[in-house]
Amino acid sequence: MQDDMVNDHLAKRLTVRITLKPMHLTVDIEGMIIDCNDKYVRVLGYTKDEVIGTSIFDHTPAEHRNVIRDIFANWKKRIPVNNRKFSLLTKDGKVFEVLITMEDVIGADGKPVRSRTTLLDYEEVRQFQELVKLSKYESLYENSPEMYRTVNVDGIIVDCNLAYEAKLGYTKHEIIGRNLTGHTADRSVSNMLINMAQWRVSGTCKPVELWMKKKDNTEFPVLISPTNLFDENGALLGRNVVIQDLTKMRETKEMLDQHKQVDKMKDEFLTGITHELKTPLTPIIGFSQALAKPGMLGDLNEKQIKAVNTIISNAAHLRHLVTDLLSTHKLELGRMKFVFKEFDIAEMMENIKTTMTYATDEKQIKLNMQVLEEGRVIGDRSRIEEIINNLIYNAVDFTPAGTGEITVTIKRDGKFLWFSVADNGVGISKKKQVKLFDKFYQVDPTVTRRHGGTGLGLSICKGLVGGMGGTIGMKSTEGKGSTFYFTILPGNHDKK
Amino acid sequence: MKILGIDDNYDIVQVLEVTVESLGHKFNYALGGQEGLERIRNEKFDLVFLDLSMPDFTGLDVIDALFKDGTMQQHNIVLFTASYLGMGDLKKDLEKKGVHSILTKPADIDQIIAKISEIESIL
Repeated sequence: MQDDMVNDHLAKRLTVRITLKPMHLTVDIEGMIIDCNDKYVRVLGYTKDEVIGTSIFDHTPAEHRNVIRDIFANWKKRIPVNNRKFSLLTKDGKVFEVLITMEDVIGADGKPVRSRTTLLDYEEVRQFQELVKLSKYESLYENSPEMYRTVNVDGIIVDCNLAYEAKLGYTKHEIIGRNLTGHTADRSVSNMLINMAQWRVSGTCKPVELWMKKKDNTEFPVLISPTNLFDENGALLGRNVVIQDLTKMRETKEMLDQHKQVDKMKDEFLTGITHELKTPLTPIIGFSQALAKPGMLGDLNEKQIKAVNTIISNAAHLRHLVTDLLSTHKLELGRMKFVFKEFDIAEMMENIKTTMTYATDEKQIKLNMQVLEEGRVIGDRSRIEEIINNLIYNAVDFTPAGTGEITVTIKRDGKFLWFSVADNGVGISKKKQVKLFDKFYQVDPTVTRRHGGTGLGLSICKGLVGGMGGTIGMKSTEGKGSTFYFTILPGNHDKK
Repeated sequence: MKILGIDDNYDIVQVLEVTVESLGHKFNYALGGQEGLERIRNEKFDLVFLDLSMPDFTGLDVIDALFKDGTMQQHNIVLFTASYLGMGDLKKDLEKKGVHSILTKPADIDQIIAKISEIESIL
C-alpha cells in the first residue's frame, strides 16, 4: 500500500508535459479549407489531401453545425472571433471540443476573403491550466522554508515538502503512507489524536502546539496550523498543515525566563541582605549615640567621647552605604518608585537651604539660593531635594573652608525645570570628569568626607534624574570650581 | 507614658528601653509577635514600637489581629522596621488599617526621641 502511494505521488509529478501546440487552418469565406497544419490532420485522422478542399462544416458533428455557422456569420460581420467553443469530429467519429480564433485576410475590396484560423484542443487547454496552477502551488509547497505536510482524514501522510524531509531526517519514500503519529513525540501523541478526532467531527482545525519526533528520536516543539482540503463535491479529503519549528522561540523564551528568575533572585537577595545589614546597625547606632548623649548613660571622658564619635560616624557611613546600595539596585531594575505631587518651588528651595545650612555653616561656606522660576509644579519633590542635597554635600567636601561659596539655581528651560549647584572649589580634571557618574567612582578617595561618600551618590542622582525624565551633567575648571546641573520634566509621567 | 516594644532582637529592645527610660517613661517589651499581641490586648499602652519581620508571628500578623478585633484605633502603633516598604501598596494598606507611622531602622536616637515626643503631644 505504501509503495503504491509513493508511485502514485511520483507519477502525478511527472505526468504529461503538454505543450499546447495549436491546430492551424486557412479557410475561405464559405468555410472551405485552403490549407492546414500537420497537427490538424493528425488529430482528425485524415491525410492532408483528404482535408484540403473540404468544408470545415464537414468536420463538425451535425448537431453542432449551427454553432460554427453562427461563428462564421459573426466573422463575416467583422465581429471578432476569439476562443469561441465548438466541436470537431474525427474521421473515426469521435467528437471533441476546440476553441477557435479567426484572423482576417483582407481582399482588394477591403473585405475579408480568408481567415487564418487557430484551433486549440479544449481538453488540452484545461489540463495545461490545471498543471500550471498545480505547479505554481506545488513550487510554493515544495520549496517553502516552513515544513508542509498533507494528511488524509485517517492521519496518513500523503505528501510533504523538502523542509519536512530535511528536518525530520527521513526521505519522502519513508514518510509517505505513514501515520502522522509516527512523527509525533510520545508526549504529544494523545494531544494529536484528540486534535484529529475533533477535526473529523467538527471539520474545523485549530492551530496546536505540540512536540514532533525526528528519525533519530530527538524531539522538537512545533506549531501546526492546518487548512482543510475538500474534493469537488465538498467532502473533506484531508488537511494541509504548515509546521513551524518553535525550538528557537522556546529557547529565547527560556532564556528570558531565566533572566527574569535571576533578576528576581538578585532582587530578593539585595532586599534581604540590606534588611540583615540594617538590623545589627540599629543597636550600634542607637547605643553609640546614647553613649554620646550627655546624661543618658552616664558621662564619658574626652578619649571615650572621641572613640564613640568615631563609631557614630562610621556607623552612619555604613547606613548610608546600605541605603545607596538598595537605591542603586532599585534604579537598575527600574523598580524605583516616584511620587508625583504638586509642590511650591520656592518652598522647596527654602527647605533645602534650612536643611543644608548646618553642613555649609560647619565649614563657613556661603550657601546662595537663586530662584528664577516660581510657582507650583508637579514632580517628586523629595527626590529632587535628595539630588540637590547630594550635590551640595559633594560641593561642601571639595570647597575650601572660609572662602567657599555654593550657589543653587533653579530656572525654567522650555518644558524642563533646570537646576544647578555651582561651587568655587578645587574643580575636577577633564580625565576624571568622564568617570564621574560611574558607580563606586570617587574623585579623591583620600579626601576627608564628612558626609560619608559611598561612590554611589552621583550614579544614583543620574538614575533619579533619568526616572524623572531629565538629564544630568557637569562642567568644571580645575582650581576654579565645578557646576553640576540637571533637568527634570515636571508633570505626571509615572515611571515604575 | 507607658510604652511597649515588640521585637525579636533583644539588642534593639534595649536601645528602646534606654531611650524611653531616659525620658522618664515606663518601658515594657515582648520578644515575639504573639506575646506582644497578648500584652496589647490585656494592657493599655500609650505607644507601641512594632517590628515587622519576626519569626512565626510577624508584625503584620499583630496588625491584622488588632484590625479584626476592631481595636486598632485604640492604639498608637509605630512600625519600627528595617524592611523596605517604599511607597507601595503595603505601606498604604498599613496606614489604612490604622498604623500611626513608620520609623525606619537603623534610626538615630534623636529620631526615636522625636517620635516619643510626637505621640506624647497627641495624648
